[in-house]
Amino acid sequence: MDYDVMVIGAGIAGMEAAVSLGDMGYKVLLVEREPSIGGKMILLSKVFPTLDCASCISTPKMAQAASHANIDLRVYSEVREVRGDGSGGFRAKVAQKPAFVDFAKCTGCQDCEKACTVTVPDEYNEGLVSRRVAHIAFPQAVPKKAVLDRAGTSPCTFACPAGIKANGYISLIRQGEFAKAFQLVLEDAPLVGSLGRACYAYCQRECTREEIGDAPHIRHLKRFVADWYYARHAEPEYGPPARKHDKKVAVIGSGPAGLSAAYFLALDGYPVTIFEADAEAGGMLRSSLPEYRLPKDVVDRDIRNVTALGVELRTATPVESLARLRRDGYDAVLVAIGTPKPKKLLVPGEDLPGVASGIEFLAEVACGQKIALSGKRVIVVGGGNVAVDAARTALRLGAAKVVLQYRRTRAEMPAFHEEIAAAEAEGVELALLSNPVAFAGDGHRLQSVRSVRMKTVGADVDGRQRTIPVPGSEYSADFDLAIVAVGLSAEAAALRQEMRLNRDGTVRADARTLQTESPWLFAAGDAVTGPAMIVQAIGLGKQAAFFMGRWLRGESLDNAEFAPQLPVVSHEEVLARQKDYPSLNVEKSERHPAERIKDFAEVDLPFTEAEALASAANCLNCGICSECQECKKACPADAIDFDQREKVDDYDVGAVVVATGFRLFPAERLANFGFGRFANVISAMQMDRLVAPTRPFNYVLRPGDGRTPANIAYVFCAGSRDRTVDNPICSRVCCMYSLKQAQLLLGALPVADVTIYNIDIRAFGKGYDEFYEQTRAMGVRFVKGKIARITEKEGGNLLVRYEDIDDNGTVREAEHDLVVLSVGIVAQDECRALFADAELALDETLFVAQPGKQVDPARTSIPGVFSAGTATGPLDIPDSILHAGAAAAQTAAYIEKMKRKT
Amino acid sequence: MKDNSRERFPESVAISGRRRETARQEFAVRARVLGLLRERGPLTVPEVALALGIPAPDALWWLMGFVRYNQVRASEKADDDGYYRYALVEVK
Repeated sequence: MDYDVMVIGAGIAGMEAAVSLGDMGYKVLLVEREPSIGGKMILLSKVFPTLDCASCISTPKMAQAASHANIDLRVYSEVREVRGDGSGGFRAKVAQKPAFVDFAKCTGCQDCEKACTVTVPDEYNEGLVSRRVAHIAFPQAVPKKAVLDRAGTSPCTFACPAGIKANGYISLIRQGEFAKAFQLVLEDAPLVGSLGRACYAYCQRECTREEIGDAPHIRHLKRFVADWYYARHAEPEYGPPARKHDKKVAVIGSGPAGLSAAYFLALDGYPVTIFEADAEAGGMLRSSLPEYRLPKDVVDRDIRNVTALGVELRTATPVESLARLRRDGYDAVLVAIGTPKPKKLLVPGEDLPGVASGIEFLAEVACGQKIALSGKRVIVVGGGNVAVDAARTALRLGAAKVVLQYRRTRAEMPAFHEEIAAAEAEGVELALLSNPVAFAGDGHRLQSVRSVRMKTVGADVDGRQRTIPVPGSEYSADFDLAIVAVGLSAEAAALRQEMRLNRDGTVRADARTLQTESPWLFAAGDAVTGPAMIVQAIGLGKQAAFFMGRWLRGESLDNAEFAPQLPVVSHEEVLARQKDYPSLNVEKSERHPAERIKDFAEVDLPFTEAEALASAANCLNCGICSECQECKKACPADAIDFDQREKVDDYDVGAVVVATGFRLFPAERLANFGFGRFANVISAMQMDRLVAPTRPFNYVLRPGDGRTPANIAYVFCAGSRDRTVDNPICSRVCCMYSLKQAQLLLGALPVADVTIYNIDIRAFGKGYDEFYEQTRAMGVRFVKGKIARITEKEGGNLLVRYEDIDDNGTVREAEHDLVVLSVGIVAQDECRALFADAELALDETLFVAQPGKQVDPARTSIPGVFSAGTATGPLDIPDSILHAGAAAAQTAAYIEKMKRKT
Repeated sequence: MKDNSRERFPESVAISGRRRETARQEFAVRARVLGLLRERGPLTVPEVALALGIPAPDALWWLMGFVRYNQVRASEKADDDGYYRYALVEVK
């Protein structure tokens, strides 16, 4: 047996039962689902009828429960299942929820909370104020440990192959923390400026807000922070990190994958050399992305993010032998040579002068070769991004006519559809369902292209429409230049003898570790996957660096998890959180097509600061925590742990005490009273927070406008003794807690008028009636009347319409500037589902049934399971503690009886 | 009647519903509120609401969030109309 007893719930009853049992010498497992023990009592202002400070009474009990030698406390934990063990005891599954904070390290300093960039309503202050997602529940929390609310990974972040935390940097932009936003992107990818312009933005496609409009322009926001940062920092602010390792790494290729791998390996403390065959670094970023999409000075600045770490860049240095690199002392090698080889159409005339490959055409333009196309007719064959880039580039070089020819439909074009639309707007003509069959010329130059029309004949295995030529549909058209852009392939022939290639020429490597058959040799980027997006190559470079680092350190690659994430949050879950999400309409700006085809200046215009802030403000915080990492950076104890996951433990326990407490009636169900609609109609628990020493406002203020209330009404029996709202029972405590609040209000606001609308006053406990008389004597006005309706006047005051019972039921109206609904208590019945092999019986109001209430107050329908406190029904605090004491005694008797049996 | 409490008595809008939206906007509006207080000095909730064209309940809610994290402080006493004034806490 691990524990003699498990107590579920650490409110005042659970704590009392646990401490009593612990004092008797029993080993107790005390499980609380909140991050702190104390239940509702610790959140109260004072207790009736003594007006003792609730905190002053609760905190010693909390400390006693937390530090008791016989009590093991599990906060932020949930009992998932309880089963009988066949001999009178139980087997319990208890889940430790991930707080994403190492409680052993957390000092409760709240630095994480102050640094956090996302706010949510504070449930511990009844939604009267915000709290941060990283938070300590309340000032007197025991234990005083922070937790992070995380619903999962935001769809934008989850979609990014490079693991860039889009939700995080948007959250920082929203705060105006542009430098921090840049740094957050930089932590996951060194090529911030390039991605901000040329990434095809999987994040955007997955953004929940795309379903309801006004989604933040995620990629454009990334560009904004890159531009903002680069304008202020021509060079990186950092230098080479302290070298931690002697083992050297060679990276072949300086495209996105090679640069990314080099960056992360260098950050990890490895000496890295990049070998680049071309004269300048950057790979496709430099050679194939036109200047109007990605200015080369941005690529240069991005590359300096890598070289600033001490990465040596050897350009114009092709590698022809991997063995030679090994002999030169490199312990590991990464092949990241991309896919620079253009595929051919394999049709007659393809080698004619005037027929060029798209990638070579773009490279020649990028390196400054003068290509005059003024007045020329150009056809570009292909439907991918290279084809669209080539077409738009031809227009900028002065071509009179540019046709983009593709053999399938527009929907099947692999190019980014925003780019296709931009090309059309600039004047590129689309020739869809058309395919070249021959290039014709006079032997010296291209003169015409012979094509055939195509038709669709159903879907391919990959879902795209398959096309076949239409017989007899061939036609010719005159062109001066044909650009073929029908795909790219790897060019690893030089290294073919030293590594295994796939049939398509890509490098054969393990999909997870990116390690090849030679343990020291890894491969990443397009060289492995074939042509892909920049961000995918960056992600694979980062992944390769992770596994290369492990291999170089002699660590196992088996079971090593790269960049673990929580499951993605669904759009449905996010949209269900709120009725609606108001937004700001922010449109991206771009140069007019007629203007932009005259030069190679950027098409997309940057966001202004105001536009960036507005666009970021539309983010829905899908993951709740944005993963901005500010808490982690702020924590002096290094306690934040984003990799923490739920942990479930099994325990054998001798008995169970259910002390799961109650919930408050949701006041908005009283539709005529306006709670949730009228700002100055609040619940009594909200008022208790307002009059508590740790109140959410600086004083007792009405939530509508911050004015000190002068005329306050209480509406009794709001959601109790009311069959129309399914809660027919008297909640027992509402009269008394309201009288307590009335007294406190008269102390805080001596000139205020307090009116209590009631059916009757139930003051039945010791000293309660005296307390009522005292309240009356203090000047509180009691009106015997049932409230029909509350309406809001202009300015926020409230008209209470009531039936005055003492005046023969006359209907009257009275104006108040704040109305407090004395809401009832309802059951917290989730405990019923915990018992897998026995039924925990509930009464008709869903509280735990007490089959022997008169003589056996804590017994439940399950032998060995006892109830304590308000889990059984409404009780005031003294009665709750008394009941918990009885539960402890009955539990002890049961444990002893079981011991004797065995 | 529903046979479980969560269905019979759903979570209160006090900590869900519209308040979630107000919370979501808090950081987005912070610079405007703090900028206003920097420019005009201590203001009441209705004055902040009027100046920024935002609902007074939201203005109060956000100001209290800023008070909580020590970016704004309240005056010691309310004025004759019962309103406190809120001032920017200057970071040294």
